[in-house]
Amino acid sequence: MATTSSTGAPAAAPSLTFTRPVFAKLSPHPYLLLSLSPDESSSTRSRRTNGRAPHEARPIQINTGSLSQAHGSALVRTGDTTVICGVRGELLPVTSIPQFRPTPSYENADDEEKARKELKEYDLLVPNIELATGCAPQFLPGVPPTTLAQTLSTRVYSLLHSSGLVDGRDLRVKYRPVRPPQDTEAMEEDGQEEEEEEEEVKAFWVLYIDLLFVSFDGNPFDAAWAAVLAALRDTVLPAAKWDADREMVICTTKEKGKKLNIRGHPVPCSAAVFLEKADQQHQDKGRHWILLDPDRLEETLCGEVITVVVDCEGNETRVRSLEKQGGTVLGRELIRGFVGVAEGRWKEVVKAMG
Amino acid sequence: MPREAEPSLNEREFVLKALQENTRLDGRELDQYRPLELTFGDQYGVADVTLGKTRVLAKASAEVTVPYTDRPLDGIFNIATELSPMTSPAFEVNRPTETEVLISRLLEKTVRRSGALDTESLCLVAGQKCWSIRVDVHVLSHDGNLIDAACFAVVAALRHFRKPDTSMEGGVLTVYTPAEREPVPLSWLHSPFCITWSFFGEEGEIALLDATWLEEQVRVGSCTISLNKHGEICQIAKLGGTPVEAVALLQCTNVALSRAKDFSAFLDRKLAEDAKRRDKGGLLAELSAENDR
Amino acid sequence: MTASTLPEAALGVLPRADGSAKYSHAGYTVTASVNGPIEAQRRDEHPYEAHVDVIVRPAAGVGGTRERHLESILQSSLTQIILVKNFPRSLIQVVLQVEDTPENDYVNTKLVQASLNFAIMPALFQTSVLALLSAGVPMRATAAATAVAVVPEDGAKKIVVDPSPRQIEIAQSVHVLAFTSQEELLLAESEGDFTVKEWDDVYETAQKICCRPASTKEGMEMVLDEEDAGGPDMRHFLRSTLESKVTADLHWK
Repeated sequence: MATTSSTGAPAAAPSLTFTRPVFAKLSPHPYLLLSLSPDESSSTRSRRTNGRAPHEARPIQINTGSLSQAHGSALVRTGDTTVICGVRGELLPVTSIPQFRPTPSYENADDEEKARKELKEYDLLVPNIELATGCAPQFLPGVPPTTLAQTLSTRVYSLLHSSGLVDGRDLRVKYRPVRPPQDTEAMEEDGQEEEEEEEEVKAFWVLYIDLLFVSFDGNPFDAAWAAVLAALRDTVLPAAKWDADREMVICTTKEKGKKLNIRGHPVPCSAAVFLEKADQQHQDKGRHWILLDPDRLEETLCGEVITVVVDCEGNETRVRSLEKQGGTVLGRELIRGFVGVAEGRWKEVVKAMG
Repeated sequence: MPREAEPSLNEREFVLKALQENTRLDGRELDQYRPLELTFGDQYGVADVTLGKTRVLAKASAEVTVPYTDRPLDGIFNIATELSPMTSPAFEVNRPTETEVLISRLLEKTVRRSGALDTESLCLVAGQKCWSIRVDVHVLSHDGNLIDAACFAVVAALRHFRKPDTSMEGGVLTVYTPAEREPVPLSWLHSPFCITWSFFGEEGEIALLDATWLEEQVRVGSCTISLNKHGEICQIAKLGGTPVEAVALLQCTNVALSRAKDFSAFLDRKLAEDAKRRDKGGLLAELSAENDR
Repeated sequence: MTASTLPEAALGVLPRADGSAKYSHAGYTVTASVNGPIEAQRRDEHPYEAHVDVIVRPAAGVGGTRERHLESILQSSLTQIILVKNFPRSLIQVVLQVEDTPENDYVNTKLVQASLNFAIMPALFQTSVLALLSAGVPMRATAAATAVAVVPEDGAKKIVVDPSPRQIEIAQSVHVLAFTSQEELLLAESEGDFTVKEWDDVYETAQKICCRPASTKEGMEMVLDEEDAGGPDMRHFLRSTLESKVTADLHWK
């Protein structure tokens, strides 16, 4: 394609050809298009500019427990997108929650549902995403969070709650009050239930989930969510007890902390749709390519994006979230097919997570 | 961002000449308001006020929160005014203009600092928990006299608003949901209204009420008087502009009082109508065991 | 208060904007204004196409990350249907003001909520399309959106159109789909727990609402009576709203 021959060419010729990076900068759309649709005559297959086939994702590397100060952490790398996630639990006494309302009896059957509401009502999961200055050229220092960062944090927050990943019951610090002796005597006459004192929730753990993009090369959501999932699975909260005399929660190092109970393995898979004509707004549809796990260059050239979050743990593939926007190429059939692609990606990611 | 187009010299002269002959472009009397309309939303605390082509929406909301440390016995009461690009493309998000700052200052002085809402009644647990009442003012369309319309909308929204009921039992605060207990109204002390006079002419000798956007652009000064129906003045703001004779201003205050009385009566009537409308349905009807035969 | 079952809309409600619309359906009321094409700011200027700026303002409180996400979803969808190439270097500004949202009587509402609100998306979408039409912004197609929830009921799963906040709370999955008038899928957002099969059913229900084939007026009403559970017919609704507006505007003739 655009190779400069150093020998034999006349002196004027080199000025008419560009090197690959120059071509990519000057006219990115034809550059990617040429690469995806090679000449009929040549034997080269359809390749993206990063050397991957359209349906090929970048290999994923996951490393957990790399931050010693956090209660759980993970470092995720897919190609040049690197994100680090730290989970830190902070105790929130119920007296500091203005709208706190004790739910009677925690042993009911719908306890799980209640715990789920608590997560939302008291905001016990706080994800925050930072796209560090220098992780990609488009992020400038000293500006308020970009739309991308805000959108990403909403998506992570929504998925955290809708997927029910964290069991809210793990985040309760409970206490069973001991009855003063003089009370017990009075009660004994009344009936048998002397020691059945209701358990009370005294505090909650709030999980601060901080994500930092060290390097950014497209497809931020997949990497961010993989990091959140791996970090939460790695999280060990210290054993905490309510001290009735001091009226505060005490964390002990003597007892072993408890691992969070993480339900399911939802894994996202994103793709972008690349159109043959940059201004394809009319009826006559040109060719299109679905580029799995797009990089930064591809993301700027594609309007339509899709993210499917699947969990293939059971017998049947469960879809946990589906987001498609910005175009009209992906119809019902293509989306159905894409869920199959996402299943393949799920296996890769779960394997990397170990 | 595109700037607002200013009225041309001809337009300016035309408006002024007409005013000197005691005529307004829309045929109103000098001290006449445009038709005022007020509708309440389905929820409590939503007031939609239309004054000619000016339209303001106010929404009140309540939340339990922690009081300020220096005022442990008081609740929190805020009025948020933000002019969105909906009002005019000249307004930008997160960049307050002078108009916006002036409106929020005046609303603050009129409603908040005049003690219209009893903030002490918002305290739930001293120093720990209190209600935070917030009114959001949304200007949908701006055709002059934003201040009067916004103030009326804020007062209407707050008087219409109901906050969730609460109870204290053994040091535990319970905030009831609307399904459990009917929400309760705020403790409201008096209803102040803003009446804005605009002055025209060399010495500000022509004074008129409820200026349109065009009139506002050519006026030489303005004076906002906030008072309730008992004639108690909360604040008077004449922010620069051509000096106006003090005696004339006294006359203005007198007219303002009669307008405030009109506003007050109008609001009372609308609130009564709305209460009647709500009474038909509501929870009582749902709970009734009687059959329609 | 009972929420209205049929959508209602009015065009040109704001006198000073280029185009505006007020839309209310299923308890949501949204007003939108459209100004454009107007001069774009330097940082938003695009040499080949118009920049579409969407601003979503909640009824109470200040907009947070959730509103930014809604804005980005709407922006990418509206850019697709507006003929942005016709207005290079300019700006088309859509401002959406939420006026009323249905309340869940069983929960005390919190002011700041970070998670995505699915049920409000169709109202925002419809209002912005109506406001764009009212402003006379050239578009390739119109579009309509709808919200659908899969709610468990007596062991079986039921598809509910325009779910109430209470239904969303107990729903297994919630979906928002938007279709263009050429019956292409423009937007699909889903969350919860569902299978591909369920999504297919949801897709069919949503398609029925957004692009029911146009027929004669008499036939239309009969269809509405028969399939009451099927929800409103959005395509017909958009059309009749505009028709009545045009008739009213040409009244002087």
